[in-house]
Amino acid sequence: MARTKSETPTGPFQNYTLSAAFDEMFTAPGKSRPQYQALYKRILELGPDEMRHRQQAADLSFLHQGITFTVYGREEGTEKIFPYDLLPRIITAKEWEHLERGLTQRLVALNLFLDDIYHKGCILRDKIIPRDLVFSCKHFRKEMRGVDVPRQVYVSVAGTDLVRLADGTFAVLEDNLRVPSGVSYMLANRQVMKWAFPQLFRNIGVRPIDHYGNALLNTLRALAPQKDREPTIVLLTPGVYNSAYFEHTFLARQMGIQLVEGRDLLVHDSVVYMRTVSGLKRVDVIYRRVDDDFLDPLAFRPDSALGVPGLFNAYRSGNVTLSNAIGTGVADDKAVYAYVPAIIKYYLKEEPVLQNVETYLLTEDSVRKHVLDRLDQLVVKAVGESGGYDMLIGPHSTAKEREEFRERIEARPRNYIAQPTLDLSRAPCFIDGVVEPRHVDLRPYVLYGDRVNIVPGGLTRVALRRGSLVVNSSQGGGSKDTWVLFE
Amino acid sequence: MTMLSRVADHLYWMSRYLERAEHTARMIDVFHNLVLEQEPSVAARYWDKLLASLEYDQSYSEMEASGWDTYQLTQTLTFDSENASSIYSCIRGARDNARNVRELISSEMWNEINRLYLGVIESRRDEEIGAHPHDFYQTVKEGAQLFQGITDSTTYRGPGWNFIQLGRYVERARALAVLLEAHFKAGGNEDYLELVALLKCCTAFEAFCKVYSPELQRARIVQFLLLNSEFPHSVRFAVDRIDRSLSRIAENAPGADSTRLLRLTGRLASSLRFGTLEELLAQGLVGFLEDIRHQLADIHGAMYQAYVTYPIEQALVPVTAGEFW
Repeated sequence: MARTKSETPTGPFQNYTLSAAFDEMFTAPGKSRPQYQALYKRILELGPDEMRHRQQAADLSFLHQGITFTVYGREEGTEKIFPYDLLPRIITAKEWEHLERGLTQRLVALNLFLDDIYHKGCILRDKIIPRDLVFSCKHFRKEMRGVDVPRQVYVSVAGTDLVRLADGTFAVLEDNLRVPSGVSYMLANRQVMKWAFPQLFRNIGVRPIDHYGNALLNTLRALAPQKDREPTIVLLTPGVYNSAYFEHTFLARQMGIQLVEGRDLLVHDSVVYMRTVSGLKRVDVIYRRVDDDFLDPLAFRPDSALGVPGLFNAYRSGNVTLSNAIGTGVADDKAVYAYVPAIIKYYLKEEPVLQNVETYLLTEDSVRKHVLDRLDQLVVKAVGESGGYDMLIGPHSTAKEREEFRERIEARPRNYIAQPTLDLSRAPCFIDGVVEPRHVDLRPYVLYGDRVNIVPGGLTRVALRRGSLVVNSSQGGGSKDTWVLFE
Repeated sequence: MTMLSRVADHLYWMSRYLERAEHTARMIDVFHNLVLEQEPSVAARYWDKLLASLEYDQSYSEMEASGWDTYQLTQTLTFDSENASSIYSCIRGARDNARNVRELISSEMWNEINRLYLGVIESRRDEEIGAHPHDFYQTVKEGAQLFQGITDSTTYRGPGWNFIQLGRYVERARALAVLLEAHFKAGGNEDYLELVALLKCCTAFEAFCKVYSPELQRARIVQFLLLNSEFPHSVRFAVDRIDRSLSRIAENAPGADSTRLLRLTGRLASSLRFGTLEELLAQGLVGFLEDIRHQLADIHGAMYQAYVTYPIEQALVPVTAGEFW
């Protein structure tokens, strides 16, 4: 048995302190978990100068590859590099096996739920989840009632946000079931890490993720409406001004498919075509990175210039597959989220593998009062938003902000939920020449075509500001590579 | 993988805009140089010719009457964002189009066009630019030429390449036809310096002197700029390239209907290949040039019809109730 070394922290770890939060790397000062031993040793060997040198090389490589995102609400076209941390986050095979089981269970159940509420509505009839709650979701699409989708798969790409609680267990924080983004950073991070730490990869046994593009392509292929010919698959982007445009171009290249905008497509006799220099070409599957609202000006927002008039009709006629389906947002509504454990039990007759975070629905008067009395301790989120917008973190908020949220909650209680402020787990980050702990979460990408397929990895997002709990890229977050080990 | 019509459109305009920026920069630079040593009345005539050659419908005297001087004139031609033909607007147009297909052009191409654009923005803010305009025009010309060189050496010779060539040579043929038309419309009383300027506007002075001699004869100049098959800034050379690019595109895009387009280009190319100077002059040079301009516009329209906005659009226009009744 290898003995874990226990020693006083040295070198770049001098200022590394542990807190009540779960630490991904250390069990006690200077005593690393077994899966981190090799990394720990390597960091001490390299020393701060060499580490800094490798961090710079990594930054430069992101810049040169143009791996950037656009921040909204600032001056037009602000492109930033997604901040990147050099130290990988490591997940053991055992932990991963557990996550994989939980994520699969969850996605299967959520797809059954979507199929049910857009068809028979058994779960509503059986009063497992209130009818009003479902129908009042911002992203519920009544147009989808009775529409059949291939293989009854509504969500074929999910980006589930997981957090690790103080006791070390993983819990689901959010299900992102509409157009989850960030997977290109997962892949780019890995590429850069392979340049920065080639030896570690060899010694430690990291499972590969490079086949994500191929896995996604196979998922989309499995959902093609016609089985008698090779489907034409395209990626629909809102265009160059979208914050995730880099990712769209990246994925289209990885899959070898056309990157199209709404104006490249047209619908004739309920069939979708793209306009090419060789004439019109029929399109079978659209991996769309455009929100429901903007897909078809005839069916949804009439002012949308990003969409394709008539697309919804073609979709309803079964002539084209949209991935994800329209109306999936109802299942990642933050109020519906509270019912996901019940949803899993209802459809699968199983206990949830992954737990939820305790969530308060604010429509109930007594619960709302309880929450409003404790705004300084809780996190409040808008139910239909993502990306960390419209959110209050109680312990880090000002009295004025709390007052604003109190008014908003009282005006529209259905629009918000509250959760305890989670002490997210912390992982070591290389910051200004020293290693410091920062809060992290984990977003694996779950694919579902003919079966659930999860590439072993994910995007570990880091709240780079000291003490911050917000990991969203739009709010000053960064990311690091995530290593899932073979054993 | 077939090419999206929108992508072809962006590549075509990226290239056209850049060619136009280069041409405009060269024209202004040449005329600036020309008027330096002229008395005001002659200078005004030259400015008129510059404006006509760049297709502005106002004359210099009209502009002067509304209180403009040559500084404001060149500022408008160079930096005015309201003027869609200014050098600034053309480079911005080229860069916007390139940005939309950034993943499909080489990164070297993107870097160069972005660099050129940023340089123009900087010069636009520079108050002192009026003091040394030549440097600026030189930068634009070199930037455009560098971009073309980079394009030549980094681009796969597929449909995208051919649309880039097409844009470049449609713009060049058109600009040359307009320039020659403006020059010869003004009558036969041009002086030696004007003929030198005409050749320099087409980067042709040195090449012309090598083929002929510095003794500038009108007929030889027309022969050279209109019918020469080997000089890149002759109308015939440009039209030959248009013809070649369109044939290549047609071979690779069997789904498109290019019959009319190829007929139009073939006809124009033949008239330049097989026409003689004598016939041309007998027919009337200005009329012939005007005709070339119209034919180029038809080719542009037919190219759009064949590859970008082909008529399914018409089939998709909803029939209004009125047409039934």
